[in-house]
Amino acid sequence: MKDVCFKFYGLGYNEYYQANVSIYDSCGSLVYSGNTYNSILNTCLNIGEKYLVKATFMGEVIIRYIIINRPVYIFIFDHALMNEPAITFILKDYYYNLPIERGELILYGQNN
Amino acid sequence: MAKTINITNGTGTTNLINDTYTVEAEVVGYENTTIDPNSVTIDASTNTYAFTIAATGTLTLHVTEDGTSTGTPIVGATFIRTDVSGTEYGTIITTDASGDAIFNNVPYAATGAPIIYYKQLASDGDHEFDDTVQNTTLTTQTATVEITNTPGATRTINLTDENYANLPIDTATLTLTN
Repeated sequence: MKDVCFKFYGLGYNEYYQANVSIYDSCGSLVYSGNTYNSILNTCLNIGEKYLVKATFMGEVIIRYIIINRPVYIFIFDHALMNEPAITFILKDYYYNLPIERGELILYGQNN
Repeated sequence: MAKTINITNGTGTTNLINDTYTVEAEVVGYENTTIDPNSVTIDASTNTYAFTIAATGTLTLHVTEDGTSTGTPIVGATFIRTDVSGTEYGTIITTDASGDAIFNNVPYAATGAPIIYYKQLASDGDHEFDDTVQNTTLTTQTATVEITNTPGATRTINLTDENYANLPIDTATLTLTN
């Protein structure tokens, strides 16, 4: 058995937005049922075994077969993700307050 | 998971879930490590986040009467950085005794350097100048642009008696203020 973490994008890092998750083994038996907390759930599963993960959130359903071979699995609720409010980023020159004509900001999430 | 936001003319938008993010920048010509802040917490109450970044190039505008490195320097000419449309940014820089107006912390890059716009606001009062928006790019950390401020042309001023046509005034002083 291995402790496996499931992370779900699209829920936000918010305890109030929970996905309902069911995990079935290769025989179709339910081995886990519960809700995410802050977009995450943890459970113990057998290494090398195949499972079916079914997650639902706001009517959007994710169904995915996985074989347990790593500690973290990430799933994306595309519809929920795209319905998040658009965030505006402003980038200016520190010394001149001049808008940067062209560039990129790369953000690395620490919790998701 | 990384999220890349493209910035155009100072602004970029994206959909992003609430979280705390480490921030990195990719801006040609700038020191990417100077991105400030380098960490941001996105929450539901705020949808606009501001960042700054700094550069380390130096642009010297060398102003002389003939636009050469050895020409007579113009002291007291003023310049300011602008965008392409002429909107002014930063503080006014004045030429020193050598005729140099020095802009520090400007972007530079061997390739793809951002365009630096600037314009001259004034000369020393005795020289003509071009007040239109100029531009340059720095491919090295320091660079000098030679600028010409030609002496004002010699003008002839006539002063005559109003009541006796064409009678020149023998001796007088006229003061012209602009």
